[in-house]
Amino acid sequence: MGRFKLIAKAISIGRVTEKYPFVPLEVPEGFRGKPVIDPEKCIGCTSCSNACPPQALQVYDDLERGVRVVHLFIGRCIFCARCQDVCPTGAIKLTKEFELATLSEEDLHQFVELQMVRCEECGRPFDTFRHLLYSAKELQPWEREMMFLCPECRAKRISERLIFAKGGGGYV
Amino acid sequence: MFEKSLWVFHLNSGSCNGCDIEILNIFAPKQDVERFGIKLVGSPRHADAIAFTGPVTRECLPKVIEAFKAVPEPKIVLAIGSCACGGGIWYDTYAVIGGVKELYKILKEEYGIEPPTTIYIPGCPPKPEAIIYAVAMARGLVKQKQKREIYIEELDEKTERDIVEILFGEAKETRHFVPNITVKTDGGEDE
Amino acid sequence: MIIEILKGNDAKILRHDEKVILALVPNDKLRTTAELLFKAGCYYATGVGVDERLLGVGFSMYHIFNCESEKRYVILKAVASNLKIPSITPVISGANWAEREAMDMIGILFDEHPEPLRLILPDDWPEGIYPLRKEFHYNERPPKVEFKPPKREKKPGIMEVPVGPYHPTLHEPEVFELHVKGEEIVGAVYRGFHVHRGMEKLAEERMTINQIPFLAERICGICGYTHNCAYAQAVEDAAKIEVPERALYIRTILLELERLHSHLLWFGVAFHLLGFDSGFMHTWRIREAFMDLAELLTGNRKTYGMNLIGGVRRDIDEEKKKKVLEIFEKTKKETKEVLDNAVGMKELISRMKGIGILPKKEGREIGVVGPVARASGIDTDVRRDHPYAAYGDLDFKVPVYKEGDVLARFLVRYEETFESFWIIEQALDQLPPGDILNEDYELPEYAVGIGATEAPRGEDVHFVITEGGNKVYRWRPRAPTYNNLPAVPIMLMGEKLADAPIIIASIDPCFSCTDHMVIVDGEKVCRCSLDDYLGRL
Repeated sequence: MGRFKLIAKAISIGRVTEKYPFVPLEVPEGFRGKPVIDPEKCIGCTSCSNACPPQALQVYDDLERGVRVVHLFIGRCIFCARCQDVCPTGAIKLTKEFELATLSEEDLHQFVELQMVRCEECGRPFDTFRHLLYSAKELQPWEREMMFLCPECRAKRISERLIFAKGGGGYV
Repeated sequence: MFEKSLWVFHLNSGSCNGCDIEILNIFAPKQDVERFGIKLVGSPRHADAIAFTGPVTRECLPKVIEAFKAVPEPKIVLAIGSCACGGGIWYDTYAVIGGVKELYKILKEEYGIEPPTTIYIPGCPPKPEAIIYAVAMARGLVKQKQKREIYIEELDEKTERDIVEILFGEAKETRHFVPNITVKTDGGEDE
Repeated sequence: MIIEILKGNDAKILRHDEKVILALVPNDKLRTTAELLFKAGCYYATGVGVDERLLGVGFSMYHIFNCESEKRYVILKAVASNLKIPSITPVISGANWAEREAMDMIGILFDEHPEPLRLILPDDWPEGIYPLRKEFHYNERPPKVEFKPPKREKKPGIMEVPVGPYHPTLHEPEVFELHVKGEEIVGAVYRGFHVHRGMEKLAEERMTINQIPFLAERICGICGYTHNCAYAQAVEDAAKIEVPERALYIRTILLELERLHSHLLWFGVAFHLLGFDSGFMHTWRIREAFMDLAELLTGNRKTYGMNLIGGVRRDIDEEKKKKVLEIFEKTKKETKEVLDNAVGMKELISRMKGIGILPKKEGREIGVVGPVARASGIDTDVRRDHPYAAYGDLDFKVPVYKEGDVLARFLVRYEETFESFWIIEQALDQLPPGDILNEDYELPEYAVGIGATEAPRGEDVHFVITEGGNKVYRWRPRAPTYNNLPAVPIMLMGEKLADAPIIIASIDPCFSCTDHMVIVDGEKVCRCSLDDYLGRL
């Protein structure tokens, strides 16, 4: 007898098939869709690439051109929103967009290229201007003196100073 | 070319089941993709399209190639999920080849097969609607939204100078900036 | 009692608390200790081979036993001397796969192992390269070697029915051959492990502790969150991290939500296999509501991505709570209607009744878990026996049936579905206030931790050794299907070929979880393990 009951049930429910794609689909608040980097806000600090489990977000330095490339490959993204959690400036956000199908893999990439600072001493690019500015805000003005040195030159200068500082000065 | 009913062969190359269940889901009442004439078929020889999931594991590779070759031309590949599109979370491990792109490379090099038309559907797993969107795209019902984006920051000398000014402007005023340098040159006089 | 057995066998107790006993057992006493533990009512959960050369120990094997009577896990550690450890498979057949896995991945040799064959690695993988040794890097890809499939003799009167790797009824790549005599199944050759993705190595080399939950979630696309939870619990156990109570409740809610969607999925598949396709459509229609709920609570339909070590990432606020209860009221009624309707259908019941019987004794020997065990009269449930998340505070029944047939497994899942509704309602009601994430912890060096959850398919055990900093030294998940698969041959014995799909599906197998292979040949059906959703659609 069960079968007839089911027919009655199916009639009483009516149509459940949604009209998508002819009618747009609403997704709930907090849906984890396509990640988008706001290039104006990104400072190239690499914390997203460190947190990204599938390494869909990679940050690498193009030393010849002196730019840092933040490269997001949505084709590998697992939509976990860890990048959004760790981004210090809120530059990367997961949108509600889920219609990501493309005919070419090329369309799945997003690049943000940020200019880098060259080290005062050795001339090697070592950090982005934006990240330098961002971290400088945290520092006291007198702590900023070695900001334009790359980590190696900075270490060198500190050790030099250690030698000159007669058993340790105020800054060492 | 693919405007009429697509017959789809589901090719799982070692995925986690997430995408596979979503593929079955689109045949369930809510999404019901059969209204577009799409049907899952059992044999690759009957298929027009491959619903490709998984990152292509090493064990699967020879079998995937066999099944791939069995689908007659012209064919269309729906690379469903992050694993198929770019290898997913395990794209570079020892047991995984890394998605359809790497598979196409192997097919080209070893068998001389040109890559077929491929629709990439990222998502982990993609919503059933995202798969329907891709299907509708193949049918020409909707337009592609996703685009490659490149942003290049431009810095002229003026902004560069400004940044230096912001960084060190106030430092100079507080006179802390200059004495530090003298510490070094003078041979370590404490301030 | 357990501790006396261990002490009586010269074991050195390394850790002893209310959750875990870890003991270093001398090699010559390993087999007797394991046998005594087994006789004392502990069943074999899994075995883990670890390359501990960096710790100055050498290669070691951890055998994990689930001791329900004392509500804890007992781990026996044995250190290989000259790469050799005595095998415990002769006394506990459940250890077979685990030991072969260690053989493949680490290169430990097990003395007197009955079938020391390759288990996990691909056929074209060169000999002598062990992926889980520390000198091997996760992204190395050794060159292919020629592989010749062994020759098999044709037996007269036996028909071989090949299924897979790509077959209309399979949605995962697995190969098996059914040997049938007339309509009766007499043997099977099975080759699984097509879905080996190198996760354990990836986790210990490339990933940090807070990235692995997302990897663990992708072990399986159906019951991913339970793996995610088990991993988080294992690390929290090793590092003794306090998890805020609210986070535990949220985990419980999501775990049960996952069980609901997984069971409904199974009902749909089972109905489909029984030729009741309208039932399939109805259950999957109802299931959509739970997928939408998951999307509302976590932001994604499947991979919830909610856990971090020390808590969860998203809160459940009042508005969401209200929405969940609203949807529940409707779906509970609908689920009941559809399932009751199915239970009332004579033709459906008679296709399930009395077929695929797994007796209690055999079930216990194999160590089956989850609904399969509960349908055979084995009263086991990790939620009750080793309370985790918020299950200790909540009230729920554990349905147990004695019959051991497909119908019993159907009814266990049927009752569990409604228990899940009840658990979520309670948890939402009692949701305590407070934080949801505790980030104030330090990872100890080389601490052992175990996390177990009751997945929709049964007990899911994760074993972790931490490395300190933000890395793990070794991580080993054990999915429930791993324990349930060896029971399938017993169920199949003497059944008709036409009933095979529903019998196999009745354990709700999941291959991407299990990923193992075993080759069986010949007349005895023993140890064949068959597929999955033989016809998920």
